[in-house]
Amino acid sequence: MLRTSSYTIYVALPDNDSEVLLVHGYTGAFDRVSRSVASYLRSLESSPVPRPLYGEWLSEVAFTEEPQEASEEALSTLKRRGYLTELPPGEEAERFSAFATKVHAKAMAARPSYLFMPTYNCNLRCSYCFQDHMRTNPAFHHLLRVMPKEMVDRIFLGMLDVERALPPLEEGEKRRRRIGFFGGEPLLAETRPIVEYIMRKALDFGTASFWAVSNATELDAYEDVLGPDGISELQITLDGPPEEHDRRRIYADGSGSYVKIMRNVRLALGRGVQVSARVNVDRNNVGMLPAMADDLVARGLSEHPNFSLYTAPIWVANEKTDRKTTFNSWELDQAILRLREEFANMAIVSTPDDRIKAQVRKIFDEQYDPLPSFRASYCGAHSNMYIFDSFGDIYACWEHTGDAKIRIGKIESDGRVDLNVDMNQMWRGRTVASNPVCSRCRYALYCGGGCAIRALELTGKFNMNFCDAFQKRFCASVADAYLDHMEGRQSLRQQRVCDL
Amino acid sequence: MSKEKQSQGVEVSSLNAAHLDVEELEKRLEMATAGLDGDCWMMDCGTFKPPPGT
Repeated sequence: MLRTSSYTIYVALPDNDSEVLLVHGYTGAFDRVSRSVASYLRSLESSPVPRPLYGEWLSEVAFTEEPQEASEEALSTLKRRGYLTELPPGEEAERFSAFATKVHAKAMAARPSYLFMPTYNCNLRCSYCFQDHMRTNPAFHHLLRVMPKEMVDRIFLGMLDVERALPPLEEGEKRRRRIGFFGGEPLLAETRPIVEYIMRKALDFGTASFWAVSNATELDAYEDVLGPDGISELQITLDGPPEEHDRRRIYADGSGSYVKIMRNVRLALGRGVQVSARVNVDRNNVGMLPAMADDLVARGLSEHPNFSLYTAPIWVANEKTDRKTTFNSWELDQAILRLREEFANMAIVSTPDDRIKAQVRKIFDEQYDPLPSFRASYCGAHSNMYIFDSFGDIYACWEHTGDAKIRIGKIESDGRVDLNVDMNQMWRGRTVASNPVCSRCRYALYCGGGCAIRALELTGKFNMNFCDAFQKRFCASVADAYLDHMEGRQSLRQQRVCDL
Repeated sequence: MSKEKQSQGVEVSSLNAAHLDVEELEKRLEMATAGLDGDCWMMDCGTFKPPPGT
């Protein structure tokens, strides 16, 4: 019996009473239809829409129009693009899960993403840090050592072990790797020798490009290895205008870090490094973003082609963070959009969802097939990310490093990779098909199921969804992208490609 | 953008590749060799910035 696909998404268009957009959850079709067609599709829905993790899909489109049977031609289009199906709901869910599993297999087969953690130590003491205990609780003091060279040698042998599953190289071809640095603070003056050793080793083992997540306070110790042929991309963190930043991103003695960071950002930009500044935002510092934007504009950073600024909500990662002060991604989106209306320089501050909007613009502007961007899992922790710490322990997720009980494996003394089968399965097997909510969710392949750590914190279950208001964020982004496309507004430009 | 005007006033306009076909799903996935490891929707890694001059 013909029915509406369980994976049909309706997107309301602001100030448009006659049309809505349809998006299909696994065919990747985006269509504009009259509300009577949408109403007809709604009337052919055979099962209730799955609920999100908490609450309701508050902005679900409601139709008051009398459903009107579509013409043969329209029916044919709707069937072809997946909105109408003869499959019973159970069979369609099975089809979705099988497809998501194949998408995930494809991601698993991609080039591995490597991160080195030269140390868990850090020279800052930010209150919201998820690794705060490592620097404040003596029981974790042993973690703060710097990776020895011998461990680097073992890890590179281990990489060869990991890469046995990749297609063989052509004769004379060198393996190209992207290598990231994460900590602790990976780019301390103290860790310079081991970072340089890792870089040299990577170039001995093939070709490589390098990036780092750094607080940028001691970047000057790396001046000669910054640049397109060295560490070419940096994610740094700013938490507001100078005074606010210096209250949050502090040294152990309570002093601030803004001046040093700014000096080093200029140094990195001058060496041709792409600098992406992350602003961790909660309800206490969101009002200071306009002053921060003004400061960065006045410093001329916003005009630099290699500098960008984006926002991310602070999550509750330790007992020092009050949940009431935090945003989810949708709330942060809205807060920034409101500030943009009032403060012109806020245009330099990206929202958490500018990325979704930019992706949808590609679909509309370039007739881009969204299928290659489908995510059956949320991030590289569930596919091809390998994080090596100074003990040779291998982790899938950087938010859960330093606890050997949840490592996915370790590098043996001869360089072999000893994978923990159960942990590996737990991390690499978390997909939208592995929990009952995501496998029935229309948004799942655009969302990836959300962060596993956040799901665990909220539900106590690893294989569960973390929605983070994705329905609202996706629908608003699609509607915005459509209106911008129709009005020919300039699109966001991509600065670099994410690795994770 | 293809547009199909329907006789009963019903309209469907395809906003992306009009040839996308549910029956071709597996083939499209096989062909999607690039992008799955980087061109994602979600990661909040700041890879997009506003256009110049905004």
